[in-house]
Amino acid sequence: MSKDSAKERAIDQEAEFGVVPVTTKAKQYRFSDAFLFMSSYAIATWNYSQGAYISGLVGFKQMLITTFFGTMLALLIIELPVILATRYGIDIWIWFKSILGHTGVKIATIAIVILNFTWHGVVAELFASSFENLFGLANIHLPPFCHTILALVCIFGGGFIALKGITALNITTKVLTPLLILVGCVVIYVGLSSAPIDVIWNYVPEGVKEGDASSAIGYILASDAMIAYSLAWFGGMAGVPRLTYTERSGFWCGPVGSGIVGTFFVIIGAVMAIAMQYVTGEMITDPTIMMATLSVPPMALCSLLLVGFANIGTQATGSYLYALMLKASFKKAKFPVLVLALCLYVAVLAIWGQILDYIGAILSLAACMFAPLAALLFTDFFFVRKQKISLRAAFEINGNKTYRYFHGFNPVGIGSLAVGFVTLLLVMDPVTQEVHIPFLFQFTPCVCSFVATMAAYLLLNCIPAVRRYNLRDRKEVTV
Amino acid sequence: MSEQEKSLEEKVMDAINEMESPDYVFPKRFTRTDYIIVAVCAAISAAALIAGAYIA
Repeated sequence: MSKDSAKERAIDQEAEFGVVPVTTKAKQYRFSDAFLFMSSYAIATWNYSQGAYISGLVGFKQMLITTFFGTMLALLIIELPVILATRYGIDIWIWFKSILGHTGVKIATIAIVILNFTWHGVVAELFASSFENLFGLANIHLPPFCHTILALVCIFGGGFIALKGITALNITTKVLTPLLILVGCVVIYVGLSSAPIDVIWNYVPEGVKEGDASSAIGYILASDAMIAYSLAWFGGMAGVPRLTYTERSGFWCGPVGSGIVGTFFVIIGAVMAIAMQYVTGEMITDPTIMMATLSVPPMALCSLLLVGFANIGTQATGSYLYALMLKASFKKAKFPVLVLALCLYVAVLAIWGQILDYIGAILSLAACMFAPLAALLFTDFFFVRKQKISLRAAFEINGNKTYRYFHGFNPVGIGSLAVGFVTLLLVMDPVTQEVHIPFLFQFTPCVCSFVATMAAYLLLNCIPAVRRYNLRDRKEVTV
Repeated sequence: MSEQEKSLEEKVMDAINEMESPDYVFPKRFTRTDYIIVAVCAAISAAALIAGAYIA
Protein backbone atom coordinates (compact mmCIF):
# COMPACT_ATOMS: atom_id res chain seq x y z
CA MET A 1 0.00 0.00 0.00
CA SER A 2 1.50 3.36 -0.99
CA LYS A 3 2.14 6.03 1.63
CA ASP A 4 -0.50 8.32 0.08
CA SER A 5 -3.26 5.73 0.01
CA ALA A 6 -2.47 4.70 3.61
CA LYS A 7 -2.80 8.35 4.63
CA GLU A 8 -6.06 8.65 2.71
CA ARG A 9 -7.38 5.52 4.42
CA ALA A 10 -6.41 6.94 7.81
CA ILE A 11 -8.30 10.15 7.01
CA ASP A 12 -11.35 8.17 5.84
CA GLN A 13 -11.30 6.20 9.07
CA GLU A 14 -11.09 9.38 11.13
CA ALA A 15 -14.01 10.75 9.13
CA GLU A 16 -15.99 7.59 9.77
CA PHE A 17 -15.27 7.81 13.48
CA GLY A 18 -17.15 10.98 14.12
CA VAL A 19 -15.35 14.09 12.94
CA VAL A 20 -17.13 14.64 9.66
CA PRO A 21 -20.90 15.24 9.50
CA VAL A 22 -22.62 12.21 7.98
CA THR A 23 -24.54 13.41 4.93
CA THR A 24 -27.75 11.71 3.76
CA LYS A 25 -26.03 9.63 1.08
CA ALA A 26 -23.50 8.29 3.62
CA LYS A 27 -26.12 7.10 6.13
CA GLN A 28 -26.31 3.35 6.61
CA TYR A 29 -28.79 2.47 9.39
CA ARG A 30 -32.41 1.50 9.11
CA PHE A 31 -34.46 1.38 12.30
CA SER A 32 -33.80 -2.36 12.74
CA ASP A 33 -30.01 -1.85 12.56
CA ALA A 34 -30.06 1.06 15.00
CA PHE A 35 -32.42 -0.82 17.34
CA LEU A 36 -30.16 -3.89 17.40
CA PHE A 37 -27.12 -1.70 18.12
CA MET A 38 -28.80 0.16 20.99
CA SER A 39 -30.23 -3.07 22.41
CA SER A 40 -26.84 -4.71 22.33
CA TYR A 41 -25.46 -1.80 24.34
CA ALA A 42 -28.34 -2.00 26.82
CA ILE A 43 -28.16 -5.75 27.50
CA ALA A 44 -25.47 -6.45 30.10
CA THR A 45 -25.13 -7.82 33.60
CA TRP A 46 -25.67 -4.31 34.97
CA ASN A 47 -29.40 -4.81 34.33
CA TYR A 48 -29.54 -7.61 36.90
CA SER A 49 -27.81 -5.40 39.49
CA GLN A 50 -30.29 -2.61 38.73
CA GLY A 51 -33.22 -5.07 38.95
CA ALA A 52 -32.03 -6.40 42.29
CA TYR A 53 -31.50 -2.84 43.59
CA ILE A 54 -35.05 -1.79 42.65
CA SER A 55 -36.43 -5.01 44.19
CA GLY A 56 -34.79 -4.01 47.46
CA LEU A 57 -36.75 -0.73 47.47
CA VAL A 58 -40.27 -1.57 46.25
CA GLY A 59 -42.65 -4.47 45.75
CA PHE A 60 -42.98 -6.32 42.44
CA LYS A 61 -45.90 -4.29 41.04
CA GLN A 62 -44.24 -0.97 41.81
CA MET A 63 -40.99 -2.36 40.45
CA LEU A 64 -42.67 -3.04 37.10
CA ILE A 65 -44.08 0.50 37.01
CA THR A 66 -40.93 2.38 38.04
CA THR A 67 -38.72 0.25 35.81
CA PHE A 68 -40.75 0.52 32.64
CA PHE A 69 -42.55 3.85 32.90
CA GLY A 70 -39.73 5.68 34.74
CA THR A 71 -37.27 4.69 32.03
CA MET A 72 -39.64 5.47 29.17
CA LEU A 73 -40.64 8.86 30.57
CA ALA A 74 -37.00 9.92 30.93
CA LEU A 75 -35.86 8.52 27.58
CA LEU A 76 -38.79 9.98 25.61
CA ILE A 77 -37.85 13.46 26.84
CA ILE A 78 -34.06 13.43 26.99
CA GLU A 79 -33.66 11.62 23.66
CA LEU A 80 -35.86 13.98 21.65
CA PRO A 81 -32.93 16.23 20.64
CA VAL A 82 -31.17 13.26 18.97
CA ILE A 83 -33.14 14.16 15.87
CA LEU A 84 -30.42 16.82 15.41
CA ALA A 85 -27.89 13.98 15.13
CA THR A 86 -29.84 12.43 12.26
CA ARG A 87 -30.57 15.76 10.57
CA TYR A 88 -27.03 17.15 10.57
CA GLY A 89 -25.15 13.83 10.91
CA ILE A 90 -23.33 15.07 14.01
CA ASP A 91 -23.00 14.00 17.63
CA ILE A 92 -24.86 16.00 20.29
CA TRP A 93 -21.45 17.05 21.63
CA ILE A 94 -20.84 19.06 18.48
CA TRP A 95 -24.13 20.88 19.22
CA PHE A 96 -23.10 21.31 22.84
CA LYS A 97 -20.21 23.54 21.68
CA SER A 98 -22.82 26.21 21.04
CA ILE A 99 -24.20 25.82 24.59
CA LEU A 100 -21.09 25.29 26.72
CA GLY A 101 -18.31 26.61 24.48
CA HIS A 102 -15.48 24.52 22.99
CA THR A 103 -13.52 24.15 26.24
CA GLY A 104 -16.69 23.65 28.26
CA VAL A 105 -17.56 20.63 26.09
CA LYS A 106 -14.10 19.16 26.53
CA ILE A 107 -14.42 19.32 30.32
CA ALA A 108 -17.99 17.99 30.27
CA THR A 109 -17.07 14.97 28.14
CA ILE A 110 -14.07 14.13 30.31
CA ALA A 111 -16.21 14.40 33.45
CA ILE A 112 -18.83 12.12 31.86
CA VAL A 113 -16.23 9.52 30.97
CA ILE A 114 -14.72 9.60 34.48
CA LEU A 115 -18.11 9.24 36.14
CA ASN A 116 -20.21 7.22 33.74
CA PHE A 117 -17.69 4.92 32.15
CA THR A 118 -17.34 3.36 35.60
CA TRP A 119 -20.43 1.33 34.54
CA HIS A 120 -18.04 -0.53 32.25
CA GLY A 121 -15.86 -1.34 35.26
CA VAL A 122 -18.95 -2.94 36.81
CA VAL A 123 -19.63 -4.88 33.62
CA ALA A 124 -16.04 -6.22 33.62
CA GLU A 125 -16.28 -7.14 37.34
CA LEU A 126 -19.57 -8.99 36.86
CA PHE A 127 -18.21 -10.72 33.77
CA ALA A 128 -15.24 -12.00 35.81
CA SER A 129 -17.39 -13.08 38.80
CA SER A 130 -19.85 -14.93 36.58
CA PHE A 131 -17.10 -16.80 34.78
CA GLU A 132 -15.51 -17.73 38.12
CA ASN A 133 -18.88 -19.11 39.21
CA LEU A 134 -19.29 -20.96 35.94
CA PHE A 135 -15.89 -22.61 36.37
CA GLY A 136 -16.84 -23.30 40.00
CA LEU A 137 -19.93 -25.21 38.82
CA ALA A 138 -17.59 -27.43 36.82
CA ASN A 139 -15.47 -27.90 39.98
CA ILE A 140 -12.64 -25.83 38.55
CA HIS A 141 -11.56 -23.32 41.18
CA LEU A 142 -9.59 -20.48 39.67
CA PRO A 143 -6.88 -18.68 41.67
CA PRO A 144 -7.79 -15.07 42.72
CA PHE A 145 -5.58 -13.37 40.12
CA CYS A 146 -7.72 -14.94 37.36
CA HIS A 147 -10.54 -12.58 38.38
CA THR A 148 -8.57 -9.56 37.15
CA ILE A 149 -7.44 -11.40 34.03
CA LEU A 150 -11.04 -12.30 33.15
CA ALA A 151 -12.10 -8.68 33.68
CA LEU A 152 -9.28 -7.53 31.37
CA VAL A 153 -10.39 -10.06 28.72
CA CYS A 154 -13.84 -8.46 28.77
CA ILE A 155 -12.45 -4.92 28.57
CA PHE A 156 -9.90 -5.43 25.83
CA GLY A 157 -12.09 -7.92 23.92
CA GLY A 158 -14.75 -5.21 23.69
CA GLY A 159 -12.14 -2.57 22.83
CA PHE A 160 -10.81 -4.76 20.02
CA ILE A 161 -14.26 -5.04 18.40
CA ALA A 162 -14.78 -1.27 18.81
CA LEU A 163 -11.51 -0.64 16.99
CA LYS A 164 -12.74 -2.67 14.04
CA GLY A 165 -15.38 0.02 13.57
CA ILE A 166 -19.00 0.14 12.67
CA THR A 167 -18.98 -2.88 10.30
CA ALA A 168 -17.68 -5.26 12.98
CA LEU A 169 -20.11 -3.78 15.49
CA ASN A 170 -23.00 -4.27 13.06
CA ILE A 171 -22.17 -7.96 12.61
CA THR A 172 -21.75 -8.43 16.36
CA THR A 173 -25.02 -6.73 17.26
CA LYS A 174 -27.04 -8.46 14.50
CA VAL A 175 -25.97 -11.90 15.70
CA LEU A 176 -25.86 -11.19 19.41
CA THR A 177 -29.00 -9.17 20.16
CA PRO A 178 -31.65 -11.64 18.86
CA LEU A 179 -29.86 -14.47 20.68
CA LEU A 180 -29.74 -12.49 23.92
CA ILE A 181 -33.44 -11.61 23.73
CA LEU A 182 -34.22 -15.31 23.14
CA VAL A 183 -32.12 -16.37 26.14
CA GLY A 184 -33.79 -13.57 28.17
CA CYS A 185 -37.20 -15.15 27.42
CA VAL A 186 -35.91 -18.56 28.57
CA VAL A 187 -34.47 -17.02 31.74
CA ILE A 188 -37.71 -15.23 32.67
CA TYR A 189 -39.63 -18.49 32.07
CA VAL A 190 -37.23 -20.28 34.43
CA GLY A 191 -37.66 -17.52 37.03
CA LEU A 192 -41.46 -17.50 36.82
CA SER A 193 -41.71 -21.29 36.99
CA SER A 194 -39.36 -21.54 40.00
CA ALA A 195 -41.59 -19.69 42.43
CA PRO A 196 -45.41 -19.52 42.69
CA ILE A 197 -46.63 -16.60 40.61
CA ASP A 198 -48.42 -15.01 43.61
CA VAL A 199 -45.13 -15.03 45.57
CA ILE A 200 -43.50 -12.98 42.83
CA TRP A 201 -46.57 -10.78 42.20
CA ASN A 202 -47.08 -9.98 45.90
CA TYR A 203 -43.39 -9.64 46.72
CA VAL A 204 -42.52 -6.78 49.11
CA PRO A 205 -38.93 -6.19 50.26
CA GLU A 206 -38.05 -6.85 53.88
CA GLY A 207 -38.40 -3.85 56.20
CA VAL A 208 -40.88 -2.08 53.89
CA LYS A 209 -44.50 -1.84 54.95
CA GLU A 210 -46.97 -0.90 52.25
CA GLY A 211 -48.61 2.45 52.80
CA ASP A 212 -46.07 3.84 55.28
CA ALA A 213 -43.32 6.44 54.82
CA SER A 214 -40.61 3.86 54.05
CA SER A 215 -42.73 2.59 51.17
CA ALA A 216 -43.23 6.11 49.75
CA ILE A 217 -39.51 6.95 50.02
CA GLY A 218 -38.63 3.60 48.47
CA TYR A 219 -40.96 4.31 45.53
CA ILE A 220 -39.43 7.75 44.95
CA LEU A 221 -35.88 6.38 45.23
CA ALA A 222 -36.76 3.56 42.80
CA SER A 223 -38.28 6.04 40.31
CA ASP A 224 -35.24 8.30 40.63
CA ALA A 225 -32.89 5.34 40.20
CA MET A 226 -34.63 4.38 36.95
CA ILE A 227 -34.57 7.99 35.70
CA ALA A 228 -30.85 8.15 36.56
CA TYR A 229 -30.41 4.77 34.77
CA SER A 230 -31.97 6.32 31.65
CA LEU A 231 -29.87 9.46 31.98
CA ALA A 232 -26.78 7.25 31.93
CA TRP A 233 -27.45 6.63 28.20
CA PHE A 234 -27.26 10.37 27.53
CA GLY A 235 -23.52 10.63 26.76
CA GLY A 236 -23.53 8.20 23.86
CA MET A 237 -27.15 8.53 22.74
CA ALA A 238 -26.43 10.26 19.41
CA GLY A 239 -23.66 8.01 18.09
CA VAL A 240 -26.12 5.71 16.33
CA PRO A 241 -28.90 8.18 15.31
CA ARG A 242 -26.38 10.21 13.29
CA LEU A 243 -26.14 7.22 10.96
CA THR A 244 -29.88 6.57 10.51
CA TYR A 245 -31.85 7.35 7.36
CA THR A 246 -34.78 9.07 9.07
CA GLU A 247 -35.25 11.19 12.18
CA ARG A 248 -38.01 8.83 13.32
CA SER A 249 -35.63 5.83 13.29
CA GLY A 250 -32.90 7.90 14.94
CA PHE A 251 -35.20 8.83 17.79
CA TRP A 252 -37.07 5.56 18.43
CA CYS A 253 -34.00 3.30 18.42
CA GLY A 254 -33.15 4.78 21.85
CA PRO A 255 -36.45 4.42 23.76
CA VAL A 256 -37.13 1.01 22.17
CA GLY A 257 -33.56 -0.36 22.32
CA SER A 258 -32.30 1.06 25.60
CA GLY A 259 -35.77 1.53 27.06
CA ILE A 260 -37.96 -1.46 26.28
CA VAL A 261 -35.23 -4.10 25.77
CA GLY A 262 -33.03 -2.69 28.57
CA THR A 263 -35.88 -2.63 31.09
CA PHE A 264 -36.96 -6.14 30.03
CA PHE A 265 -33.60 -7.34 31.31
CA VAL A 266 -33.88 -5.23 34.48
CA ILE A 267 -37.24 -6.96 35.12
CA ILE A 268 -35.62 -10.35 34.42
CA GLY A 269 -33.01 -9.48 37.05
CA ALA A 270 -35.72 -8.61 39.57
CA VAL A 271 -37.81 -11.75 38.86
CA MET A 272 -34.73 -13.95 39.20
CA ALA A 273 -33.63 -12.19 42.40
CA ILE A 274 -37.11 -12.68 43.95
CA ALA A 275 -37.22 -16.33 42.79
CA MET A 276 -33.75 -16.89 44.25
CA GLN A 277 -34.86 -15.41 47.55
CA TYR A 278 -37.87 -17.74 47.56
CA VAL A 279 -35.77 -20.83 46.74
CA THR A 280 -32.55 -20.16 48.67
CA GLY A 281 -33.49 -17.37 51.11
CA GLU A 282 -30.83 -15.18 49.56
CA MET A 283 -31.20 -12.46 46.92
CA ILE A 284 -28.53 -13.45 44.40
CA THR A 285 -28.15 -11.49 41.16
CA ASP A 286 -25.51 -13.51 39.34
CA PRO A 287 -27.23 -15.08 36.29
CA THR A 288 -24.86 -18.05 36.34
CA ILE A 289 -25.85 -19.05 39.89
CA MET A 290 -29.49 -18.20 39.18
CA MET A 291 -29.65 -20.50 36.17
CA ALA A 292 -27.79 -23.33 37.89
CA THR A 293 -29.98 -23.10 41.02
CA LEU A 294 -33.37 -22.46 39.47
CA SER A 295 -32.92 -24.75 36.49
CA VAL A 296 -30.53 -27.62 35.81
CA PRO A 297 -26.77 -26.90 36.03
CA PRO A 298 -26.19 -27.27 32.26
CA MET A 299 -28.61 -24.36 31.82
CA ALA A 300 -25.94 -22.22 33.49
CA LEU A 301 -24.18 -22.47 30.15
CA CYS A 302 -26.96 -20.25 28.79
CA SER A 303 -25.58 -17.59 31.04
CA LEU A 304 -22.38 -17.79 28.98
CA LEU A 305 -24.32 -15.85 26.40
CA LEU A 306 -25.73 -13.45 28.97
CA VAL A 307 -22.53 -12.73 30.84
CA GLY A 308 -19.90 -13.51 28.24
CA PHE A 309 -20.97 -12.25 24.88
CA ALA A 310 -23.43 -9.68 26.24
CA ASN A 311 -20.81 -7.98 28.38
CA ILE A 312 -18.16 -8.03 25.68
CA GLY A 313 -20.77 -6.66 23.27
CA THR A 314 -21.59 -3.88 25.73
CA GLN A 315 -17.91 -3.06 26.19
CA ALA A 316 -17.55 -2.90 22.41
CA THR A 317 -20.54 -0.67 21.71
CA GLY A 318 -19.83 1.48 24.79
CA SER A 319 -16.18 1.98 23.85
CA TYR A 320 -17.24 2.94 20.33
CA LEU A 321 -19.92 5.42 21.47
CA TYR A 322 -17.78 7.05 24.15
CA ALA A 323 -14.73 7.29 21.88
CA LEU A 324 -17.03 8.98 19.37
CA MET A 325 -18.18 11.39 22.07
CA LEU A 326 -14.58 12.24 22.98
CA LYS A 327 -13.70 12.54 19.31
CA ALA A 328 -16.37 15.23 18.93
CA SER A 329 -14.55 17.29 21.58
CA PHE A 330 -10.95 16.35 20.84
CA LYS A 331 -10.96 16.24 17.07
CA LYS A 332 -7.19 15.90 16.82
CA ALA A 333 -7.08 12.75 18.95
CA LYS A 334 -6.98 9.49 16.98
CA PHE A 335 -9.94 7.16 17.39
CA PRO A 336 -7.81 4.08 18.31
CA VAL A 337 -5.99 6.16 20.95
CA LEU A 338 -9.32 7.18 22.48
CA VAL A 339 -10.59 3.57 22.54
CA LEU A 340 -7.33 2.47 24.14
CA ALA A 341 -7.53 5.27 26.73
CA LEU A 342 -11.08 4.19 27.63
CA CYS A 343 -9.99 0.55 27.92
CA LEU A 344 -7.05 1.52 30.12
CA TYR A 345 -9.30 3.59 32.38
CA VAL A 346 -11.65 0.62 32.90
CA ALA A 347 -8.63 -1.70 33.27
CA VAL A 348 -7.38 0.47 36.17
CA LEU A 349 -10.83 0.16 37.78
CA ALA A 350 -10.74 -3.62 37.28
CA ILE A 351 -7.26 -3.94 38.80
CA TRP A 352 -8.36 -1.75 41.73
CA GLY A 353 -11.20 -4.24 42.23
CA GLN A 354 -13.46 -2.16 44.47
CA ILE A 355 -15.65 -0.42 41.95
CA LEU A 356 -18.77 -2.36 43.03
CA ASP A 357 -18.53 -0.77 46.51
CA TYR A 358 -18.52 2.78 45.14
CA ILE A 359 -20.64 2.50 42.01
CA GLY A 360 -23.84 3.72 43.71
CA ALA A 361 -22.24 6.96 44.86
CA ILE A 362 -20.42 7.49 41.55
CA LEU A 363 -23.60 7.01 39.54
CA SER A 364 -25.54 9.35 41.80
CA LEU A 365 -22.91 11.99 41.10
CA ALA A 366 -23.16 11.22 37.37
CA ALA A 367 -26.92 11.83 37.55
CA CYS A 368 -26.15 15.29 39.00
CA MET A 369 -24.41 16.08 35.71
CA PHE A 370 -26.66 14.28 33.27
CA ALA A 371 -29.98 15.77 34.39
CA PRO A 372 -28.86 19.42 33.86
CA LEU A 373 -27.00 18.55 30.64
CA ALA A 374 -30.08 16.82 29.22
CA ALA A 375 -32.22 19.83 30.21
CA LEU A 376 -29.80 22.26 28.56
CA LEU A 377 -29.77 20.36 25.28
CA PHE A 378 -33.56 19.95 25.26
CA THR A 379 -34.19 23.64 26.00
CA ASP A 380 -31.54 24.93 23.63
CA PHE A 381 -32.60 22.69 20.75
CA PHE A 382 -36.34 23.35 20.95
CA PHE A 383 -36.73 26.79 22.56
CA VAL A 384 -33.52 28.82 22.30
CA ARG A 385 -31.54 27.94 19.18
CA LYS A 386 -34.70 26.40 17.67
CA GLN A 387 -33.02 23.49 15.86
CA LYS A 388 -30.37 25.57 14.07
CA ILE A 389 -26.67 26.10 14.80
CA SER A 390 -23.72 27.36 12.85
CA LEU A 391 -21.93 24.21 11.73
CA ARG A 392 -18.93 26.28 10.61
CA ALA A 393 -18.57 27.67 14.13
CA ALA A 394 -19.06 24.25 15.74
CA PHE A 395 -16.28 22.77 13.60
CA GLU A 396 -14.15 25.96 13.84
CA ILE A 397 -13.85 26.14 10.06
CA ASN A 398 -11.19 28.68 9.00
CA GLY A 399 -10.51 29.42 12.68
CA ASN A 400 -14.11 30.48 13.39
CA LYS A 401 -14.22 31.58 17.06
CA THR A 402 -17.96 32.19 17.52
CA TYR A 403 -18.39 29.34 20.00
CA ARG A 404 -15.25 30.24 21.93
CA TYR A 405 -17.32 32.71 24.04
CA PHE A 406 -15.32 33.58 27.19
CA HIS A 407 -11.99 31.71 27.07
CA GLY A 408 -13.77 28.69 25.60
CA PHE A 409 -16.70 28.71 28.06
CA ASN A 410 -20.24 29.95 27.52
CA PRO A 411 -21.21 31.50 30.90
CA VAL A 412 -24.92 31.25 30.04
CA GLY A 413 -24.81 27.48 29.59
CA ILE A 414 -22.33 26.86 32.40
CA GLY A 415 -24.37 29.05 34.80
CA SER A 416 -27.60 27.14 34.01
CA LEU A 417 -25.76 23.85 34.44
CA ALA A 418 -24.60 25.01 37.87
CA VAL A 419 -28.20 25.89 38.86
CA GLY A 420 -29.34 22.35 38.01
CA PHE A 421 -26.40 20.79 39.81
CA VAL A 422 -26.98 22.85 42.98
CA THR A 423 -30.74 22.18 42.87
CA LEU A 424 -30.15 18.43 42.92
CA LEU A 425 -27.77 18.77 45.87
CA LEU A 426 -30.30 20.97 47.71
CA VAL A 427 -33.08 18.40 47.26
CA MET A 428 -31.04 15.35 48.28
CA ASP A 429 -27.48 14.34 49.07
CA PRO A 430 -26.81 11.91 46.20
CA VAL A 431 -24.12 10.01 48.10
CA THR A 432 -25.81 9.53 51.50
CA GLN A 433 -29.36 9.75 50.03
CA GLU A 434 -30.32 12.12 52.86
CA VAL A 435 -33.41 14.11 51.86
CA HIS A 436 -33.12 17.89 52.45
CA ILE A 437 -36.36 19.21 50.92
CA PRO A 438 -39.11 16.56 51.26
CA PHE A 439 -41.65 18.48 49.14
CA LEU A 440 -39.34 18.65 46.10
CA PHE A 441 -38.07 15.12 46.74
CA GLN A 442 -41.56 13.84 45.80
CA PHE A 443 -40.88 14.91 42.21
CA THR A 444 -37.52 13.03 42.29
CA PRO A 445 -34.18 14.89 42.45
CA CYS A 446 -33.39 14.29 38.76
CA VAL A 447 -36.68 15.86 37.63
CA CYS A 448 -36.15 18.87 39.96
CA SER A 449 -32.66 19.37 38.56
CA PHE A 450 -33.97 19.07 34.97
CA VAL A 451 -36.73 21.64 35.54
CA ALA A 452 -34.44 24.08 37.42
CA THR A 453 -31.83 24.00 34.62
CA MET A 454 -34.51 24.49 32.00
CA ALA A 455 -36.01 27.45 33.90
CA ALA A 456 -32.60 29.06 34.51
CA TYR A 457 -31.55 28.76 30.85
CA LEU A 458 -34.88 30.11 29.57
CA LEU A 459 -34.92 32.99 32.06
CA LEU A 460 -31.32 33.97 31.25
CA ASN A 461 -32.25 34.01 27.58
CA CYS A 462 -35.11 36.41 28.33
CA ILE A 463 -32.51 39.08 29.20
CA PRO A 464 -31.81 40.83 25.86
CA ALA A 465 -28.05 41.31 26.38
CA VAL A 466 -27.60 37.69 27.50
CA ARG A 467 -29.71 36.44 24.62
CA ARG A 468 -27.63 38.43 22.11
CA TYR A 469 -24.44 37.00 23.63
CA ASN A 470 -25.71 33.42 23.68
CA LEU A 471 -27.18 33.65 20.18
CA ARG A 472 -24.20 35.37 18.58
CA ASP A 473 -24.22 32.67 15.90
CA ARG A 474 -27.55 33.62 14.28
CA LYS A 475 -26.02 35.43 11.31
CA GLU A 476 -23.76 32.45 10.63
CA VAL A 477 -26.53 29.85 10.50
CA THR A 478 -26.45 28.49 6.97
CA VAL A 479 -28.13 25.10 7.24
CA MET B 1 -2.03 22.56 11.01
CA SER B 2 -0.79 19.18 9.73
CA GLU B 3 -1.62 17.88 6.27
CA GLN B 4 -3.97 15.29 7.74
CA GLU B 5 -5.83 17.92 9.75
CA LYS B 6 -6.16 20.05 6.61
CA SER B 7 -7.60 17.09 4.69
CA LEU B 8 -10.06 16.40 7.50
CA GLU B 9 -11.15 20.03 7.62
CA GLU B 10 -11.69 19.86 3.86
CA LYS B 11 -13.90 16.81 4.35
CA VAL B 12 -15.91 18.64 7.01
CA MET B 13 -16.24 21.67 4.71
CA ASP B 14 -17.34 19.45 1.83
CA ALA B 15 -20.06 17.93 4.03
CA ILE B 16 -21.24 21.36 5.22
CA ASN B 17 -21.18 22.76 1.67
CA GLU B 18 -23.25 19.77 0.55
CA MET B 19 -25.82 20.44 3.30
CA GLU B 20 -25.93 24.14 2.40
CA SER B 21 -26.72 23.34 -1.19
CA PRO B 22 -30.38 24.01 -2.12
CA ASP B 23 -30.54 20.55 -3.75
CA TYR B 24 -29.51 18.72 -0.59
CA VAL B 25 -32.16 16.33 0.70
CA PHE B 26 -32.17 16.12 4.50
CA PRO B 27 -33.25 12.88 6.22
CA LYS B 28 -37.01 12.55 6.51
CA ARG B 29 -38.15 14.90 9.28
CA PHE B 30 -39.83 14.12 12.57
CA THR B 31 -43.45 15.07 11.83
CA ARG B 32 -46.10 16.70 13.98
CA THR B 33 -47.68 13.23 14.36
CA ASP B 34 -44.37 11.88 15.67
CA TYR B 35 -44.23 14.63 18.30
CA ILE B 36 -47.84 13.90 19.30
CA ILE B 37 -47.08 10.17 19.67
CA VAL B 38 -44.05 10.99 21.85
CA ALA B 39 -46.10 13.41 23.97
CA VAL B 40 -48.90 10.86 24.46
CA CYS B 41 -46.41 8.11 25.42
CA ALA B 42 -44.66 10.48 27.85
CA ALA B 43 -48.01 11.53 29.38
CA ILE B 44 -49.06 7.88 29.83
CA SER B 45 -45.69 7.09 31.44
CA ALA B 46 -45.98 10.08 33.81
CA ALA B 47 -49.55 9.17 34.75
CA ALA B 48 -48.58 5.53 35.37
CA LEU B 49 -45.63 6.63 37.49
CA ILE B 50 -47.88 8.87 39.63
CA ALA B 51 -50.59 6.20 39.90
CA GLY B 52 -47.96 3.63 40.86
CA ALA B 53 -47.27 5.50 44.09
CA TYR B 54 -50.78 4.58 45.29
CA ILE B 55 -50.65 0.91 44.34
CA ALA B 56 -50.46 -1.42 47.30
